[in-house]
Amino acid sequence: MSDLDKESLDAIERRLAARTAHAPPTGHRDRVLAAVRDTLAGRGAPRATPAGLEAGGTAALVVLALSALLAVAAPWLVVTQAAGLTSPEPRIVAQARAAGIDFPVERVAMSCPAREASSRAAMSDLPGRRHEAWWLRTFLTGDL
Amino acid sequence: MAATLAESLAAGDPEAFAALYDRLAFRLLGAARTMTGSAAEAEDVVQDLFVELARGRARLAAVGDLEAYVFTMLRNAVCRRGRRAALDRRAMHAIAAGRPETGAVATAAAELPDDALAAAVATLPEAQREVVALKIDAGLTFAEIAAVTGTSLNTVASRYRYALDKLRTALADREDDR
Repeated sequence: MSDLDKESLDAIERRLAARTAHAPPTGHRDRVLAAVRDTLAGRGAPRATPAGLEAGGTAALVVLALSALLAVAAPWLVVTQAAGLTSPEPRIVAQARAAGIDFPVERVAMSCPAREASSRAAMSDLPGRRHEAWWLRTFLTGDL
Repeated sequence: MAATLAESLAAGDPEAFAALYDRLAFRLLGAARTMTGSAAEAEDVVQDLFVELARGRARLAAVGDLEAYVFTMLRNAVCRRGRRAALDRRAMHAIAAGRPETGAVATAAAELPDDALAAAVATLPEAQREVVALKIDAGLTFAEIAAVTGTSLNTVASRYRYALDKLRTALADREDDR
């Protein structure tokens, strides 16, 4: 760096330093220390960000827990429904049985393309749902 | 700075906070003013900083270099405000689309004394302006600034040198325009 360069940079530095020669504004000290005393006494306003984060975190946990419950329960429901374990017996079938008629439930079910298609779709998505349930459970238990 | 001050602060002694203010307020306000470009903003930042210190006072007992710690907190507070201001500006622009964006620092520069210099400082990149604030206003050494900003000593020295160079050029251009 040349002498001229150094001199002009020093001049800038001096000018910057001169700019800062100002005392704290009147009343600022009192305001700051009053805010500090309030905080020390526990009278300070609650922090917006952490409180918000806390509330958001709780809400997120609730949503996650519900999602996990749903993710775990949904495949089970799909399987049981597909297997006919949870669906109540149609009234007409019960009435038919009471009247001594053997209602062809299986054949009726198989002849219904819409129901068959939806059951197969649900079954084919089972690995995806199981993976999602595993991920959420692992995330919630902190095993990741 | 004596360790006893840190201990008194950690114990929640209001007198210790007054002593800290008397010792650092001048430099904190100066540095905050250079970083934000606004005297009013600087006052708020310093007040928030002291409230934060009071709130997290338990941590202060374990702090080795109280001054570096306080200036690091100041820097973080200014960064947070800068980010918030940027978000506010973006929101305002979304509302009033078509209006040209102006940086908070540049618009507030006229508040500072020595307008030409203030305007030149406002045009510096944030990292360089920060080093100028911590060196000139806070009176920290390059090593202390490196610790506060989490950068290397060489980087700090280079940023300072580039900042002075830019200021010199900017001021010379202004004088040429007159």
